[in-house]
Amino acid sequence: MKHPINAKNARMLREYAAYLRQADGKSEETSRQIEKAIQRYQTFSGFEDFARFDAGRAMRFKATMADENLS
Amino acid sequence: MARSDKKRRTLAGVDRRRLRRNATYSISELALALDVSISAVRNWRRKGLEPIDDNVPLLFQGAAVKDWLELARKSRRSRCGPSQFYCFSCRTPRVAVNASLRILQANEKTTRLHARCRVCNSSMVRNFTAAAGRALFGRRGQPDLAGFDMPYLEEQPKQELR
Repeated sequence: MKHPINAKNARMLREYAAYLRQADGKSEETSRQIEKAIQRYQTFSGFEDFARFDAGRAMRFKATMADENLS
Repeated sequence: MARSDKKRRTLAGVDRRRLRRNATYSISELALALDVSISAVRNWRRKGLEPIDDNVPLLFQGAAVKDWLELARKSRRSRCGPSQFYCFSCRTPRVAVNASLRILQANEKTTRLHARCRVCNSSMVRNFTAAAGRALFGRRGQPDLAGFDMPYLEEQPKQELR
C-alpha cells in the first residue's frame, strides 16, 4: 500500500522537530504532538509543498478543524 | 552453520510496532528503533525497501517500513498441503515417510506428530487436532498419510475444529 508523503516537507519537518527538541528544549512528547498537528495540516492540504502555505490556506484549515470539532 | 554469540534477529523477530507511522527514519535511526544492525537495514534497502526520495541521508517512512516488514514476513511463510510437514532443513513443506510417523505429544485438543522428511530424512513436527491423531493412529497397521485429509490445526477455521 502506498502512503502519501511529500519528501521535501518530510525533511523539513525532521529539521523542525530537531530544532524543537535541541534548541527550544521541548520534550519528545511535545515535539511529537506538534509533528502530529503538522501532519494533520498535510492531510488537509493534500501533501502540497509547505512553501505554498499562506493566510488563505491557514484560514481554510482553521475552518475545517472547527467543522471537525478539533479546535 | 556456525553460531555466533551475537544475537541475530531475523525478519520474523523484528517488532515493527516500535515504529511510528507518521515519522521518517534514517538508516541508523531505523536500526536503533528496531534493534537490528545498520547492515541489516541496508540489506532491506537492497531487497526493495524504498526510501522517500534519492537524497541523502536516506529517509524511510515509518508506515512504508511497517508494511514492507509485514510483507517480507508473510512472503517467508509457506503452507503445508495434506500429508505434508514443514521441513526446517529443506525449508519447504515436504511429504513425510509413512514408516517414521509417531505421536510426540497428545492431549484432549491436539496431537503433535513427528515424521521424517522423504527428501533429507530430517525430523519434522506438525500439530494436528486430537481427532485427526486418533483417526490416523486408530487405523490398523502402520499409519499412512496417503488420502489423510483430517484437519490440520493452523489451516482450518475454528468452527470446523469442533
